[in-house]
Amino acid sequence: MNDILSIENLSKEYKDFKLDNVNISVEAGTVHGLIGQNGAGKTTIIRLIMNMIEKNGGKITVCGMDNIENEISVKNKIGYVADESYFFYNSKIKKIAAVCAEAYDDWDSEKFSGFMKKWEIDENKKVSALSKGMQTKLMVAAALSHDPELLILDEPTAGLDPVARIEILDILREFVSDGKRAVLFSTHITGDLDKIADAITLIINGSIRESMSVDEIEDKYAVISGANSILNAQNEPLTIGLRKHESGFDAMIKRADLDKFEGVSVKNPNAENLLTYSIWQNGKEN
Amino acid sequence: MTSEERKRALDVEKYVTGIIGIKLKDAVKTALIFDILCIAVMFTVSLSMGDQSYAAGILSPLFIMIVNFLIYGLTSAASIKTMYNFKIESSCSVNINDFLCVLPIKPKDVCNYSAICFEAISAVTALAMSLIHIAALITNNMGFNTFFNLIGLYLFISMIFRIVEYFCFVFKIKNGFWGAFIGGLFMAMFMFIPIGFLDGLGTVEEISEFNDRLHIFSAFSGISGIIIEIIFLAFLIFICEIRFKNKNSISWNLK
Repeated sequence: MNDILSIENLSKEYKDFKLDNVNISVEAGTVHGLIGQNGAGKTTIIRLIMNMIEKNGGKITVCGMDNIENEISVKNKIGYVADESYFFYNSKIKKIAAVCAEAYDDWDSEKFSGFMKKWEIDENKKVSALSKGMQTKLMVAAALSHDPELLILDEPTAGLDPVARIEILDILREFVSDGKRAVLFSTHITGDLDKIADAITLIINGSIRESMSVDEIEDKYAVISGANSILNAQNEPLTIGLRKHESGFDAMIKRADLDKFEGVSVKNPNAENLLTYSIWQNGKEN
Repeated sequence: MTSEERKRALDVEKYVTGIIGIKLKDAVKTALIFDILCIAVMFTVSLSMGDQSYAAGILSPLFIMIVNFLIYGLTSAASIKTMYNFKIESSCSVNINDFLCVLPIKPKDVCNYSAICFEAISAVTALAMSLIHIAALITNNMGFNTFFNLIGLYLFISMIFRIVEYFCFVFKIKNGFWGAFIGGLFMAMFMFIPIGFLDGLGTVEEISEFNDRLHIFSAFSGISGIIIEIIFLAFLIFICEIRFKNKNSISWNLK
């Protein structure tokens, strides 16, 4: 299996938060979604991959190289899109492009200008003059213009209009289409992942709860709903994130337990179901 | 830092300069030129004030300090504040190191560049302060009645504020409140206190009486003032050594 990104036993401890023993593999040719609530640790994982913060333990490998020992080579292989623009607001876009051209081994100025033309962004404008959506597009353009093998996106579609979101998702799909590159896509807008993700990692309170392909999620879990009378002392503990209403209940269960819930309607779980039912379950356990 | 490490660290400047537009050495040069210009202005003012020589003695060094700190603000805003966890924009939670972290640059080089900036700005400020003492000594030797004690008080207070400000930068505790607080103190220190002396103390005799009561601060002016500045600079460089130099991560400098 050709892993573009491999994270093993990664840990990071803060005063009030702990990222514990994180293991993630991102295969070439896939879009890997990283989902979790705000503050679950998604951005911390991404910052550790980028070596923006120091890890307490574990190993991160990008394209077979350790992210710290081979930091310069690794960063040449990574395109990074943050949740907010990391460019200096008072800089002109062409200045930023010049800095990137100087820094990256494989910077393609024509490709960058092509993106700017396509998205009708004037390179003589300052970053501060761009809307939030345009700033995200600028980061995407910069990330893609040095021919990376791994694209890391940290909540890129938050705050974007629907058209811009679809455009970004199209770009991601095209990016992995050659089967040699991969995307790690952190978001809490799970609808985006339903459209493009091949695998999903769910993180809750700094720990990985699930990390598997979308097909495996569908094989492993089911979302059920039905009358409250279906629930009994034997099957209720098997539910994940059970929610009871006056008209009935809904929950996620392991597909293997489906025969214990007679008369329920069943549907395949999506990323949002996996996230929400797991969080509700976690809330109950705590 | 070896010469090779220093060269690599200064290489980082092209990215910083590319983003914020001012080279450290240009900023330092500008500060030094302004220092010299200020001394020229001081002599001109002192010589032209005639019987108001008391005022000339105190005002000229203060004038130099104001200009120096305006320059200090300019150079540090351009080339160093962004390195010390200053946000790119008040509404934005990222700083310049977020961008540097994305680029294929070694964190150690960024740390060493931070150290070079820190030392350069500290040295320029110390030099500017020393020039004030030298200027005061020269005006005194020229026969003007310079208020050394007042200058000593002034520099003593400024040193305390500089310590607070440097610690806020170095140990990343400069947030909105401290930013406003220290900014306000500096503003008061360098803009309003001299005006207060002019308006409030009024006559030369009153200023002279006030100066006489401040003899405890005489150690902070003249030759001993210069020595204190040099010791203070050495202290800052020591902090710089233990905090920034040759560190392998710039995580201390990120949100």
